[in-house]
Amino acid sequence: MDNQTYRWRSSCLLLVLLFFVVGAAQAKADVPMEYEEYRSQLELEYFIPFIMYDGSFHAATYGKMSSILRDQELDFVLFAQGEERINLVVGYTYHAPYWSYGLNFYEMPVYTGLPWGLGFWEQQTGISLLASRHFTNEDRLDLRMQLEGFYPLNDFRYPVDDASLFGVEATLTHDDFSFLRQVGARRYFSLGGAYPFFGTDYKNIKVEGDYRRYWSGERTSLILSGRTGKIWGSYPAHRGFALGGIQQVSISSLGTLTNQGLLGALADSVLRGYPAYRYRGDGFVLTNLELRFLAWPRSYQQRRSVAFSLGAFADAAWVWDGNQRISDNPSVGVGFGFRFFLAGLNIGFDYAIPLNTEDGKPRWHFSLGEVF
Amino acid sequence: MKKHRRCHLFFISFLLFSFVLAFPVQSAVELSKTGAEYRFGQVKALPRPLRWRKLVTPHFEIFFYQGLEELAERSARILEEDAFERVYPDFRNLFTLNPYRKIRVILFASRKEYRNSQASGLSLETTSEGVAHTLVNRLVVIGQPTYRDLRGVLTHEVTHLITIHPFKDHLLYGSGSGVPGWIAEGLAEYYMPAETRYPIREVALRDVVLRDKVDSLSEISTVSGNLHYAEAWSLVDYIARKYGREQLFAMLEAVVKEGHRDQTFQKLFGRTRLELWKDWREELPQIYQAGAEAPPYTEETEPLFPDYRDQSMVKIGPGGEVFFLSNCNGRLYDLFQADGDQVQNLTDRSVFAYDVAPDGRQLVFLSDDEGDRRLYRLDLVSGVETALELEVTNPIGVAWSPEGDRLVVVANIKGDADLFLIDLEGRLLEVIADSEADETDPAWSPDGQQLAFVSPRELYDQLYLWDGKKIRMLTRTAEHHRNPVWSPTGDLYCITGQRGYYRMAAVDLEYGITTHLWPYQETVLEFVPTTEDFLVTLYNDRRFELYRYQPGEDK
Repeated sequence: MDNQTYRWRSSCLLLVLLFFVVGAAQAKADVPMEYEEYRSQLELEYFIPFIMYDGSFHAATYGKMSSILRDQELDFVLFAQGEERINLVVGYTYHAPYWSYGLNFYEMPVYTGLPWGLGFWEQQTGISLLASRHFTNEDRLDLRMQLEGFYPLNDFRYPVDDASLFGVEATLTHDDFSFLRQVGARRYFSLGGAYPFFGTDYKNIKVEGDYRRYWSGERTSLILSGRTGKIWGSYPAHRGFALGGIQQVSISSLGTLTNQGLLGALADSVLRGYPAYRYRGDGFVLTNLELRFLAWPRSYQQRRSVAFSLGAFADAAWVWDGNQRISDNPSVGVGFGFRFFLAGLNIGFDYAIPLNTEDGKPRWHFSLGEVF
Repeated sequence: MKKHRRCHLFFISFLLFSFVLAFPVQSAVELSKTGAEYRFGQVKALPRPLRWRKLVTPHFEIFFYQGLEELAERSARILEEDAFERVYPDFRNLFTLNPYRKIRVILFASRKEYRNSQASGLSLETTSEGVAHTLVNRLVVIGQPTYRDLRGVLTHEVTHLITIHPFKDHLLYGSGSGVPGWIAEGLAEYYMPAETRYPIREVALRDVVLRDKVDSLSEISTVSGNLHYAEAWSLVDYIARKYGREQLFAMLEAVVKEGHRDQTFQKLFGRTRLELWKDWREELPQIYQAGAEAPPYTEETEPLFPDYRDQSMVKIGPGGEVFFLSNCNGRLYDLFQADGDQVQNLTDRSVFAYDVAPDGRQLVFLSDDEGDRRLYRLDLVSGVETALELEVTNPIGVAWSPEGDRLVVVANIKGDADLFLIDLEGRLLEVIADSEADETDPAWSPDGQQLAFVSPRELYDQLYLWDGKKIRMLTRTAEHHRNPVWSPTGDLYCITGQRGYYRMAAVDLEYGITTHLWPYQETVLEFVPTTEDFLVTLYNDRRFELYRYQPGEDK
């Protein structure tokens, strides 16, 4: 082999080797990676239009924007009703490490009161500022400032104001209640007030407290609940305290979404054996005692998505309007009931007899969700 | 008035529609999640501030925070080199745009931070390891304790996005059926590497096959537990084997566009859904024959602590006390001590691993209640808990040495589990094993001279022994060898088996030959030898139950 041929062959061999080495190196090369700082910015998650025509057009949209880590969220509902009105709810939230902040603007008809035909529609327009300090999953402090105007859209059997208010409120809440196990405690203490800024109509101070304790055995649970509230000063006629039946105002559709409840009674109240809105006043004390028995499954440990339980209860309430007590001393209802828990929905039926009242007629009450 | 009624009806319909739609996509309907809208209810409270960064690769954007740098890089390699290449080619035709739009992956250090983040969009009770937000092409994942689990979870969730996200308009606007749970989860499990599927799922499947209680398609589609995942995987695997893997793409597309109905399946496979289900069910007993003829143990024996559901990680104290973890309080997990019939919860923190000191006066446990995973020491006499500052981060397992002066800590620092020897002050004494594979389940011999542990070799978990100086591979046969435990007299045992049937076995310390000790039908999940008998955790009809077992009592 002469030198030239040798050099040529060596070069070829080198090239082939180089080809394989480079190829192999490329094949084993790391995934290209690039580091960047995270910048939070809103992106559209979804946007759902909904249109109906029944002689005139109704259109609604529901949408959500969020940042990738959802530290910012913007939700909106837009509801156009013929040519009469455009209703809108927009809520923006920013989550910092320990605090969350919210800003809501709303102009929307809201169904107020019990969802099964015992309430009324109210047009609400307002703006609310919220801040919430989350100490743990169970403990938080909520602060709220709200300006709202409202008027009724249909008749209601009790007086409803057409007015506006401005108020602030601070609420401390603890909740370590486990629904499936029926153990833990829920309590809050709330202090708020209204002041006639911006030409609003009311001036008051409101205090409200709630305590609920659950003790659970293998298949029985005992629940003790106590609630009290007092408003000093002027307040919307339909936003005082209302007792009678199961007042599940907290599930009244959009009501909780639009922060409607400032300076009104928002939490559920339970005085079974009496009709809805039987007592309406500016101060109350309410206690409930209920014993539940889990009929199926055989222990709370086994409770998952289906359950059936029976219960016996006694409710007692004192209600005042100004200096006058308008309830009995106290108004008492006793009875029994049963609850179905199915696919995350708690459906309750209670049969209650009112004691020490002229109208001693027993009543059935229906409830949705964990009332207390 | 009539107009008002119409308006209300329309509005209520819209709200209902919004609610129904909002729940499946894991979005909250409240306008501001400050918590202030509701008097009651628990809130998401992050235990510490997180400083987020982003790692960008050709197909992914990976979001991570302090302490997760190596996990993010390992995840990036899994996602790009393994998961994406495994799934995407089969479903390439679903995408009109190439290269594929980047998938956002959000990593969390622990379950606590995952649950408490707004990003996961899940409730505080979630027990999931990750979630795919199919509408927005985003997945949120807990940094898994082991490389194997991380690989499995990432592949599972990426499969959801690749297979379902292209149909987001169908799902969002209802122009077609959704993807039924058995197909969605079946595909996600099918594309996971076989060794990364949780073994407990196939245990659950074997159990219902032996009981002839295999769930219907609609039951499987509720995907409410390990069993449903296993059934979904098994059915999809059956379809792939019988009709060809390429039919999975065709089935998915047809079901979304034409509906989850018999005609769709007849067109594809010539079988109705029920016929397909029956074909699959008939094949299952052949696959799960092992142990089927053995007598059942649980029929005539009562479990210990039946009210404490799903016991795991059972250990025995020097005084015979039984310690165990349970999810009976609805979380993963609570730590209990049983002394006779008296059972008490030892700590308010959730616990995912622990070990008892040789003198039984203390224990160490691992919890993520403060955000990242941490080691705590609990004085069993006074009840005082003390956080132990470790020189190694992200501990996921622990074993207290028989002399009481050292701990072996399993920690995941670089994306896989490694073994470290530390003193009781948390100082690192020695690195025992830190290969690129997982090293887990450390178990000290009673004399403290040897440490058995588990590491995968090819497809199977094998036992290794460390004698203080070097490591040798002990078992080699083609089946899994897991959960090594030592008897008080120095005999080594482990769990062996595959395809959902696992039994306890004695291990020869010289050659690693295993001898099965369990002649019964039920799968043994874990066991502990005591001086007189064994405590065995059995899988029995969707429950983990603890029994006493005396080998001499064999029926």
